[in-house]
Formats: sequence, structure tokens, C-alpha cells
Amino acid sequence: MASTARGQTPLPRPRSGPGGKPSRAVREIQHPQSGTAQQDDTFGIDDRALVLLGKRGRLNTDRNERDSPHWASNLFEDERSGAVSQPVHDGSELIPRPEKTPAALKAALAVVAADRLPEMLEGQTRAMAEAIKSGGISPLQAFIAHWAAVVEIERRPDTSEAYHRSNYLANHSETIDECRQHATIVAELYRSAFAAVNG
Amino acid sequence: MSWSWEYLPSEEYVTKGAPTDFLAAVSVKADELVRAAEAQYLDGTTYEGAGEAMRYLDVAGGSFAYYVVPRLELVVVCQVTSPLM
Repeated sequence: MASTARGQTPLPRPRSGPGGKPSRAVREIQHPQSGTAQQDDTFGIDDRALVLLGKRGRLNTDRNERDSPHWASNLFEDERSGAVSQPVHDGSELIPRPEKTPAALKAALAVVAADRLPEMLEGQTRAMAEAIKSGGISPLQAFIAHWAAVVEIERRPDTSEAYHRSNYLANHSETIDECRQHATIVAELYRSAFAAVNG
Repeated sequence: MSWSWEYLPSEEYVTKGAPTDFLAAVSVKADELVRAAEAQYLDGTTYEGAGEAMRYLDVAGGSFAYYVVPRLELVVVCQVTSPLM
């Protein structure tokens, strides 16, 4: 494994999102619990994504901690238990959580992310082949677990928006640090969804 | 930059409790993914796509989820599922 220490080095060819700079459209947000509007531009990352993760109030603005390689993971640590929180969402769901069966997940994916259906079907074929080859069902379990997590993200518009926004900004932010921050948010959102449906 | 792979948010966070032989197999697969990504994107810093999808791989009776961040020339491993004992 090769860990990186890439610091604040500007990228050789900075690119920008639509409108010239990475979007910071979400500056004033409604906290899901308190109902109070909050503003923060400290990190240049999506405040709403942090709210979705239920960690908005935990945001540490200390410069040294921000620069720590692990600052992003600290954002998601539960203040009381140290456990990782599940995504907090505003309650809107395109569809209820489907059962963890291939048919139910396929039907759900057709609604929430139809463009990924071919990939899912290809994965199902591969998982079946792997199961036959290995003589066990773990490839089928992995297939179900992964696609259940994908559907869990996509069926909630706010979580889906935060996920795709961070995945975009992980590739289009101006600095390496910003890209890494967004890549970490993507990882956390997937992990949270995975735990919610497979935990 | 050059291509590499990494656990995010952190190695200890993602791999906690996973058997070492399983993690060794994950490492081998992740190295392969790095080589594949390097060949596919050549210069990741010129990437102009919207972001790559989360995917998973079966390995040593378990699995792991990963995604590629071309701009960082990085393969991120964010979830490992150990084989059932």
C-alpha cells in the first residue's frame, strides 16, 4: 500500500465545476434536529453532507486537527460512544428500503438509479459464476450486500445528492486536500449505507 | 503524481478486526486495481468525468468495496467484509 502525503500542493491543471469554481451552493442549511439555520464555510466542503452524517455539530475548526491526515474521519466519530453514525436524512425517500433479494434490489435500482442496471445484471452473472467456481455462496452475499448499499444511498435524495456531489468534487476540487476530503465523504457515506443494510 | 491505493477514512478504521491473511489478499488485489487504473487513465490529473462508481471485488472468501479517484490517481478501499469463519 502506498499512503500519500500530498499536502496543499495545487494540482497541475486545476479544473472547476460548473460555474467556474467548485460549488459551494449549500451554505445555509436547516439542522434536522434543532431546526435552526447554520452557516459554515470553514472547510469548503459540503455542510449538508456533514448534516446528513449527523455530525454537523462535531465539526472541529482547529487548524491543526484539520490538517491531520485523520481529520476527516474525526468528523464522523460519535461524540459520546465513538461509534460511527448512520446517515441522518430529512425523511424523504423515493421508495422504502427493499428486501435484500436480487429481484427486489433490481426493481428498486430501476427506480432510483436505472443507469446502473446493466452493471448490476453483469455483476449478478459474475457472482453466480464465482459461486459455482468457489463452491460457496459468499460471492452472492457480496453481490447482495454491495447493491443493497448502493440502493440505500440512491433511494434517499439527500444522501444521494451528497454522495454524488462529493464524488464529483473529489475529482474537481482545486487542491489535493479538498479532493481527499470529498473522497473521504464518499467513503463514509458508502460505509454508513453498507452498515445500515448489512450490519 | 503516481497511482497508489489507500484505505479511507483510515486503514485502522476500515480494517479493524479483519484477519491479516485476508487483508494480505486485499492488498494484492488492490495493487492489481492500481495497475489497471494506471493503464486505463494514463494521466489521472486530466480526468474530466463526473466521478467513478463504487465497485466491489470478491477476494479470499470475503470482499471489499473500492472506487477510483482519477484526479488523485488513487484507488480507495473503503469497506472490507471478512470471510465467514
